[in-house]
Amino acid sequence: MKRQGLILIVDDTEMNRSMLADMLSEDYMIVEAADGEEALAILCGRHDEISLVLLDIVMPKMDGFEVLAHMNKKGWIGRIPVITISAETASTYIDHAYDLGATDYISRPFDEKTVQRRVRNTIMLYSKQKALEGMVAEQIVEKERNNFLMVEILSNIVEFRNGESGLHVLHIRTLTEIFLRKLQEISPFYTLSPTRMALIINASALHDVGKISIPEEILNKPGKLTQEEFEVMKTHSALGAQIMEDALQRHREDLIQIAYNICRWHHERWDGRGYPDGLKGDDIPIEAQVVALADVYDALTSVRVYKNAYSHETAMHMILNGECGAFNPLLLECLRQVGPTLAEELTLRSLSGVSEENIRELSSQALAGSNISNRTLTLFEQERIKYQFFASMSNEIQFEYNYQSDLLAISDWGAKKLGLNTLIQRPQSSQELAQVFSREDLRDFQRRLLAATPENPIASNSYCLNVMGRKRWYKAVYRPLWEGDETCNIVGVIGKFVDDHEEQMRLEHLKRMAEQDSLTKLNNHESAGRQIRQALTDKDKRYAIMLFDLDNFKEANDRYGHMFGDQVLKHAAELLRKNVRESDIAARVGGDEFLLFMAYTGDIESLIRRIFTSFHVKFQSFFIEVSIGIALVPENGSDYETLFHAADQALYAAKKNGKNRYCFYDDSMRDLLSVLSPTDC
Amino acid sequence: MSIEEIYQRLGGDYDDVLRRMGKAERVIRFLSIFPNDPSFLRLSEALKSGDVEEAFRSAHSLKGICMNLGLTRLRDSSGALTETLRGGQITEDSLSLFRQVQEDYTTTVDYIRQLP
Repeated sequence: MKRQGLILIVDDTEMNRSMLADMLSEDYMIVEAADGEEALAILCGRHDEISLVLLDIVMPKMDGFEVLAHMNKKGWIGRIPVITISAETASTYIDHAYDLGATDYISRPFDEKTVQRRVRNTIMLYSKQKALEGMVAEQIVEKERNNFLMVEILSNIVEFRNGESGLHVLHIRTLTEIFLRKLQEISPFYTLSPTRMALIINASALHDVGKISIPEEILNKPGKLTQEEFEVMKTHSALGAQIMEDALQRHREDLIQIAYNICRWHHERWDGRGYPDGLKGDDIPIEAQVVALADVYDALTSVRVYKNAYSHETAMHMILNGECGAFNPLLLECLRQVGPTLAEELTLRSLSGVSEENIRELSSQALAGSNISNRTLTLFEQERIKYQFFASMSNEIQFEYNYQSDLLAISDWGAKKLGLNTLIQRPQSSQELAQVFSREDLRDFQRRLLAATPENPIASNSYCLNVMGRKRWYKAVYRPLWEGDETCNIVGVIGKFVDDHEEQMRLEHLKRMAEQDSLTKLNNHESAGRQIRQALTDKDKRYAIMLFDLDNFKEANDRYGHMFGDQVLKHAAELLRKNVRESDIAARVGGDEFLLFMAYTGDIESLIRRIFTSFHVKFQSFFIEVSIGIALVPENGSDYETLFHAADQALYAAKKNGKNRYCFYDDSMRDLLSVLSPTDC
Repeated sequence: MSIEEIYQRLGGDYDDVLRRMGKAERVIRFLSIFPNDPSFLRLSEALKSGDVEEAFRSAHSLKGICMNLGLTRLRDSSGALTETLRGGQITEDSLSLFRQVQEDYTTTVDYIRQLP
């Protein structure tokens, strides 16, 4: 049988110890102590392992009562059950042992069955209790989490109504935490337990909850408030306190009590000239003092309907100069000390999710004294550190978007690379973002995001970003984060942009190569056809499509060889290119046939004549002669196939009529053969 | 001499001891190491040197062991001695009771040594 639990037997008589050990050693592991001092030494080292103590009362050096007293002092007695054993049956003895926290009492002479049963029952009872304690601890964590969510929701409602940025609540929490920590560090007058500190930080988000009851016109009035309006605005602190007081009727919770203090008194002033109660000095609860300072700093450094944002330096100066209210000198000292790093820390912490840290703190508090879940928390923390570490090491543009807060966070390195802020609010309508990432690309990005599934969660595409005025290609690799198994509910997006400009350029080049005639670098027939079809979708313009044929090319080839022939073709392509504007399309469509497609206005004949003449030049000792067939849009057709065929027939007509001329298509040519499409005949 | 006989001679209830201890083997094992227990030796030395606290604890221990082993006669005498020492003084009663304890102890150990 597996032996579970370690029992400490304390008795000065060896025979008694070995007798008890003999009765219990089959089911338990045993450790023995011959007097109270030995017992304490063992408890000191192994109190975590020991599941029960069997304790004799009458012993030399230190008796059983003293051992019990020490176990009380060390806090072990709540966790380790003690059964006292003695031949003493006087009730005063027994009562004294119970008073000191002993769980049970066994009198001599020992009875094997009694000893075994009592020990087993006691250990079972205690381990059940331990498990219960663990469950309660978990419930506390859960409750705090719920509290936290409630707080977040409530404060978001207020913010939406206030038209404040989604960051205000985050900032207040962070500032409150920074000030509280500094205060603990520099002053012994406001000692706060970690739990209370976490509660204050949590409750700080609720400071303006009373603004729910302030009329919209006053709340969001862009200009200065009138005296009456200001009086209405001032009621928000008492109103917020009222909300908390109502809540306190139903739930007596520390969080709500602290929120009450903060709501009611965060507009009080150290000199007693604040509202609503005109409290002075430390009559104002410290939590309200701290939130007041956080609120003023954030209000100064943020944009509000009635003002622009001041810089950190200006805000510091204004507060320390007493321009924005009167504060506890110790808190001003805190502000002065954290000042140099405040702005940076604020951005950093708002990014990394204060909430998580907070929950972790509350959790470890709730779990203090119980080992349950500590391991889980540690693992969780390790994962978080690991993630942050790798993110900071990699030179990548990493991003994270949260739907609920509508905030886009970009890694430091990435933001710097793109010339963006690390934090972008409402990215879908952000001008700042649109300048780098076009709206059209953003739509494509979102389309791909929505198409992702748990089986196939990764979306990816290349986008051309505008980085500091330069176009550069990046490959986006990203995925949605779903809430639980509900794929219909995307709560966030994570991903990164990788620079693949070189790769994209190479592809572009290959694509261009494929569309080009390798000898003349003009478009090939296929690519010209595609471009012309695209151009023809614009129905309002007049176009001409011309087919050129070098009349004496065969002669050049025959007389001077293919190398020379190639040079003639190159030269002809050069002539063509000279006649071409940006919007025109020139191509080599056969051995010695070229195509030119252009939009025109005015007299087409003079345009053709000019082009025709430009071809009559001498290349080395060779005179180039050319025939041209021309079809017009809209006269001869509107689709590429019809037009090409018409031009081809016109070219045939030009050849038939003696070469070295140009010829417009007309319907009399309908039955002619073609030059380029002999299969037609 | 069988274990039952020894208990009979020492005025103990073997059946009761056996019930409490669970098995005969355990009774015999602990009974046979009883002579090695130092409580009686400590008691006599403490009384000789006048250390009443040590005398009380030793008498108390001896009584406890005898209770466990069902050695009724020695338990009674050592129990009575314990009570006379509880007051913190060695009295005439203590000394006469010790002589009784000494006699009972010697008899008990003698019988136990006759265990097979």
